[in-house]
Amino acid sequence: MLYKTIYTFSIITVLFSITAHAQIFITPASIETIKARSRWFSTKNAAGLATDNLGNFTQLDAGYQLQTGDFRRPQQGNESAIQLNAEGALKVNKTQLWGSFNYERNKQTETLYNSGIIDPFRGMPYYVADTNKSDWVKQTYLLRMKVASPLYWNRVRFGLDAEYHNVVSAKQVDPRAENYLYTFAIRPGFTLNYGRHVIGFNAEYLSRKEENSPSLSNNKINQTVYLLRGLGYSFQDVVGGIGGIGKRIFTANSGGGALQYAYSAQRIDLLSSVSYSIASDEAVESPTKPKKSGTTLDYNFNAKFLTNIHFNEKNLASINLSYIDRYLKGIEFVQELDQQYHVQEWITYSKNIRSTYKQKSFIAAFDFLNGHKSEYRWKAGFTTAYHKQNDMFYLPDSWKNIETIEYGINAKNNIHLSGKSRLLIGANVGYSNNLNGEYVYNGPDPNSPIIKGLMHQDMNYLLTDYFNAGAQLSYTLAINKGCINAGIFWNCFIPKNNDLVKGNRNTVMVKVGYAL
Amino acid sequence: MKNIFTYTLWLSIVLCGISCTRNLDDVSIVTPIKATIQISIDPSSNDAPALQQYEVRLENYTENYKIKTIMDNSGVVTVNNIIPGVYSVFVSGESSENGFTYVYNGNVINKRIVSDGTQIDVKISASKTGALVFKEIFYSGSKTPSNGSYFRDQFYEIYNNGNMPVNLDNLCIALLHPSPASTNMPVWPTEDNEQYVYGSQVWQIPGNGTTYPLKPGESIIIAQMADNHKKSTLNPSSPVNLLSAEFETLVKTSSIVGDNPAINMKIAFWPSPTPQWLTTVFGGAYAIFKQKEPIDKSFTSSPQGSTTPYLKINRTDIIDAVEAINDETKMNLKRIPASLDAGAATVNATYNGKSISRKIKEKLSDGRIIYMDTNNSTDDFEVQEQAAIRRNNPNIPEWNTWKDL
Repeated sequence: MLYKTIYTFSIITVLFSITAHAQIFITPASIETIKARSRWFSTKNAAGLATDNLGNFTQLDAGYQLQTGDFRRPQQGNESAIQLNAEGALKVNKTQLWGSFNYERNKQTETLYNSGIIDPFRGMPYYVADTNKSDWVKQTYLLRMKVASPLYWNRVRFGLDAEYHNVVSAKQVDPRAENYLYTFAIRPGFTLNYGRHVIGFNAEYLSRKEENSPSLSNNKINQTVYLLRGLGYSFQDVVGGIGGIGKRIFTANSGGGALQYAYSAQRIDLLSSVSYSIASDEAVESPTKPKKSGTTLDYNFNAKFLTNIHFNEKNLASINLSYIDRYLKGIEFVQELDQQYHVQEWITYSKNIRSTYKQKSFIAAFDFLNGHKSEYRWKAGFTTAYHKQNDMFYLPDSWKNIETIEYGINAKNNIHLSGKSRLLIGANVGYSNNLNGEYVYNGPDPNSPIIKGLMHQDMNYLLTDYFNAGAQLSYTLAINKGCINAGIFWNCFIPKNNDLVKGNRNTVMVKVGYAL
Repeated sequence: MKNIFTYTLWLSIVLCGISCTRNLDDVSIVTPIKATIQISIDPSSNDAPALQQYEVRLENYTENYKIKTIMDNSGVVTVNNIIPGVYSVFVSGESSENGFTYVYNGNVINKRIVSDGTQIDVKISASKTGALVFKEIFYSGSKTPSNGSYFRDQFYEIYNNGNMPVNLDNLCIALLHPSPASTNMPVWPTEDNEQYVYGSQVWQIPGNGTTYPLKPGESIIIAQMADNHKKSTLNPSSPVNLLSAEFETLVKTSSIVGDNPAINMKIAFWPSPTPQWLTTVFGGAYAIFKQKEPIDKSFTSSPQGSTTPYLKINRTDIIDAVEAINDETKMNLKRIPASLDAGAATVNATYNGKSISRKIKEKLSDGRIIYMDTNNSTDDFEVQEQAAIRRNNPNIPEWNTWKDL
């Protein structure tokens, strides 16, 4: 049943992506313009999409991305990735459809301290780490769709936002790991229209499962691993031999909802949105004799305020403000194995919060677009963001605090070389300034490689101020009803000084695509 | 109507998601708790001198968290700052009187301490330190030059740590079940599991009762295969040449396994012998013991769910026992009781050429070494980077005429 649903969902999404029809000259700048003018697109309430007037477009592109350089977190590697993306919007009988499909085959090299989870930064502290430098090969599929119904009773629209995410990955050095991740999210919603006012609500349900199977290629050498518990606390264990660790399963369920309010006038569009979700993510060892490694409770609050000011047909100013508040509890269990022959199961006798993780972010962005309603001539903007993180492990108490502020400016010029071709030139610069931060570990293993190699090195990265700069060059040429485009994108991250870290980081991406 | 139904369905799904977290919403942040440790002294220890204080240790192996405190002669102590968890509680003390050393030991393994004010009763008993002790055990094996795994160089060194000569004749060495340590612990018949430990394989030294005396300060080597393991046909990377070993556990000869100068021990109990006496390279539980009566191979028991017989060995017959485990995280899987070994030792890996050896307690004026023997292998043993026989130059028994090989 599940596979049938996923299959149907995939087909629908891909069809949306490739069956839209061109009405206007679709260039990278025009797709950016469409999204900049869309307010509801950035929410998870698909019902509002119909008021965004996404129009009809289809784009398909393939790209190759390369990331290199030592200025990175220890668990990040250098990366090379092949990407295939499809996206389309279509209006059929007053029903607005949007869909996208992304495929990525990614190879990370020289990653460290992870043999247990596909994304070590997703907020799951209970996974397996090792000290061997290794490659990871990952294959990612992401399908997304949004559907907005016609207006019923002159007042109500219904919408559905759905997402299926599948990742298969494998670690290439002992202790090896094979991971499979499945995420399915569904967000039904509706909007109520009262003249210029629109009120929206959407619910959200997300189910995620990740399986991690450790193994050895060389069975003669067992590999030491660390079962992480957050903030550097860990249990030492082994992969291989009798009694070595086995399969680990992460099962997450999330429920939540969001409220939106939008107002439209002749020159101004406003949208404010608040959302709240609660997720539990449980890590369990050995499914045939389940033992809980830990469970997280993840509370997420988001508030967003978007304003689009239409000075005239040509000029648009967009202000986006958002606030993100995440509070995550790490719960651990005192368990004992019931040794009775006919029982043989882990019994939980006590559970406590052993760690907490608090993150707050304020993000403000301003963009000004000049040009035609459907395609800007030039745009400029700035962003600023403030991030604060307070993590705590209880007994013996340890903590990690980080406070960072980021600034950035960007500009793009969409040069009309002729009626049929465009050259888009863009540049951005930014600076990340760490205001303060500290990591204090009072646990029993201050000399373990997890503390010295992972936690301290990671903090060195997080405490470093850095500049970033980027540039983009895209050429688009209209052919028949569609356009082909090719682009090159470059970004670099340069630490302000090399006291704590070494090297830079560069990302280069080339992309070719077709849109209509 | 259809829409109402659809939205009710989705709302139900969301509520289901939220309900997943409900049973964890009331979980609180961990706080330290207290426990009271109380001892009771086994009546059989009445001959031993009373102690003024005892050392109390609580160890949570999964968290690598240890608390140490002193208990006075009231026999009760309250321990603070405990992180809720599963602990092993050790109580120990030592005194000397009339030329004898008495060791008090008691423990409670895998005790759950999750609520404030938990009371733990620890039964302790005193014993004179034994004369014969395991001095060094090499169980992990070694790597060959081509990175293969080699296990024929395992050995067990036994030392006379006492003041009087001991006859080794009929001394048995047993590998206790389970081997290796496992979460699948055997469940023994309740009527006798407080009285015995269970041997899966037992070897015995031959002799007429006085054939193989061992003087204080002398040691013997029991080799799985008493050959020069460093020779090219075996494993040039092996840390040991065992040609001078006093005893070997020869099952049968083969193209590799020869009958070496060492005296062949007898199989006292081994229901299904294999071509060589390979004990687990992850670390087994070993005991040396002597029985007044000949070993009765039918005096066995089987754990629930198994028909394999294991020899019942009376705990009072055991002279020394050492438990070895894969690594420190397996401490909660201890197989043998605290009265025999309150802790465990480990080399943390397999085929690494490392051994566990007993720590030196003192050196007497005549040069004789006395090794630590608190019946707690965690404290008594240390890891040696390279296994070696006759470390610290113990004397070799006179009857070993091949000692210079």
